[in-house]
Amino acid sequence: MSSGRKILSAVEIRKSFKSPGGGLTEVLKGASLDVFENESVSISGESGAGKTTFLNIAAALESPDAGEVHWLGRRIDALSNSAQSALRAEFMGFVFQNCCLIPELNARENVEFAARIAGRHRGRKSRERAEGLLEFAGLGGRMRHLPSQLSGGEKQRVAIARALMNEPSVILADEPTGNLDERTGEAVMQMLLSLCSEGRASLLLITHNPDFARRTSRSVRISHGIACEV
Amino acid sequence: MKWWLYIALKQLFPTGRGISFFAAVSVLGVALGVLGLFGTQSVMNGFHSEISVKLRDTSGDIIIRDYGKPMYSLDELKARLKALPEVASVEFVAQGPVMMVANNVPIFPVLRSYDTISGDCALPMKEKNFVKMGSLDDLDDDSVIVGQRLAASAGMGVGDKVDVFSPTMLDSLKRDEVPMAASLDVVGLLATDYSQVDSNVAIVSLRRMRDLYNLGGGSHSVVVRLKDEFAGEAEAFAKRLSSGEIVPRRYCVSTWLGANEAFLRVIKMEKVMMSLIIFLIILVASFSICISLYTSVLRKTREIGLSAAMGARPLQIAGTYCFQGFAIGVFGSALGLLLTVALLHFRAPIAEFIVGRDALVEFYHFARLPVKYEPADALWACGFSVVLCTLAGLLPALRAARLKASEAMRNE
Repeated sequence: MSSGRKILSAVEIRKSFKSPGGGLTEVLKGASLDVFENESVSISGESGAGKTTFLNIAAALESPDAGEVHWLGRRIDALSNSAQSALRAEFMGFVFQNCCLIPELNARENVEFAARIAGRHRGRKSRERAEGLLEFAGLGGRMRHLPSQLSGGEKQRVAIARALMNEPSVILADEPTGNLDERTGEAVMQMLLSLCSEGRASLLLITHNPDFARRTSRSVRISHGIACEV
Repeated sequence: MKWWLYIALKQLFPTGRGISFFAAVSVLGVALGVLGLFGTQSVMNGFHSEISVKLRDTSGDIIIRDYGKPMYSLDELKARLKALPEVASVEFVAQGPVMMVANNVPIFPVLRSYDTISGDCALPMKEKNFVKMGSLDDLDDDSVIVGQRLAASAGMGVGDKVDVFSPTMLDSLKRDEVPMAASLDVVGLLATDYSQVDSNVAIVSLRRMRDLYNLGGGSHSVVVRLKDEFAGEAEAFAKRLSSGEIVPRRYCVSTWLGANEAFLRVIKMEKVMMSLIIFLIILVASFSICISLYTSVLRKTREIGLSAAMGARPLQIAGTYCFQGFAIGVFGSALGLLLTVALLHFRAPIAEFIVGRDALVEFYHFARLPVKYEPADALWACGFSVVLCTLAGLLPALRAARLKASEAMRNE
């Protein structure tokens, strides 16, 4: 376990969903997890185990039925929607399986977009930072390309650059290599892990790939609604 | 710039593509609606304005009558009227229907007098050059100026002779006398560009008209023309005259506006009805915008979810779609105004192509399609379009705002 500052703490999280038959399916039955500064934590588990639900609750995108989520010691699951939005904009970066770039914006504008939403866009400064992040992602020559002109791996790297735009404390990545071939997935994974080793951000990663999971600081498996260290 | 304004504009005008297909079609749709609405209103304003000017020019501002009876001893009244600062000119007018025979073709125009001796005229005949191929000064007791279209219908021209029979000649027949037609020379053509007059009126001297109608020294009406700066106050002025101090109470005082009230009201009503129909067309266009934006929300569910995950608030997400509707309304209205001005600039060949010049003159009394731009109409047309387009964005905006980030991100 890391000795750094505790960034995120999810305690005894419970979450149920209505089943099509009318009953309740309890997906999370008291899952707990701590994430420390500059630490990388992987979450694995079978499909439908509740990995994405747990990540969403940790990011205050969903409310738990029971349990608490703390961000730098402050409970966030009970905050207002706008306070949660502000928190996400300031401290969290997201990378999803379907990288979900905005098709009307080019690569650089997509990266800058994170700063715009957070209200941190500062004209040329933000543009230069976005360009710097794209350089870091190896996309220096692709800044003006639209998402439709980029490959899957390139799109995912743009998404990582976007996640880093606001200098977040933690990157929440939900199967970021799920749609990529082995080689491209490796490059993306390398990039994400380097963020932690360089002290840029912590990483909370959902992955099905055991090799990627092994390379993180800690691995957690969600099974039967409970998170267990592997 | 706020991010939601930025992304709304980017969705309408994407990087590298200039304008999106949806935006182009929507803006064009709104522009055509505004073109229809503002164009129709401007043309109807033009009709109203031109007809008003023609009515005033061809009937005078104030008409004083004795309920159809001839009026006599009017010199004192004329002097009182002339002394008023609002009055430009006062004219004794005798007028009525006659039968005119030219080249063995009988026609039945209204004959109107012009006082060739005093030169008083309550119509701007000289100022607006209403007499063509001749002059008002050529008119004497043995000549006539005939409406241009009337002359054309009877195949006569300047230099021809016409015989004029008045209704009073029937009295001669009753007395077993042979009525003697007045033989007059055509010395000019009346061309006011108002077909109602040009195809129906001829002008003779007051003395000839009195003779034809057995009026002695009388006339049928006293027509007053106001100075142009008082032209808009005709109704108030007529009311003042009716009070009895200036015009004897036994006379009826009316204005050109009052005399043509029903006609002018019909034109206004026509404008309102046409505007209503085109309002409905814009309403239908706004439904299309609503459906397109709603489809866009469904298509972009994951992007909306991502924005929410990144910290966007529901109201800001709603703003993105409302602003798109607003922007389409603004750009569409601006383009619509430009198209209206451009199209109406070339209205003459377009109108001629569609309805033909003759139909225009026959049905609307004008040789060319009149247009009058009213800023208030432009404001209404644009304001209505912008409001409708913004409202069209409201339903998709509400749908977008209600999306939960976690559910939106799972959307397939």
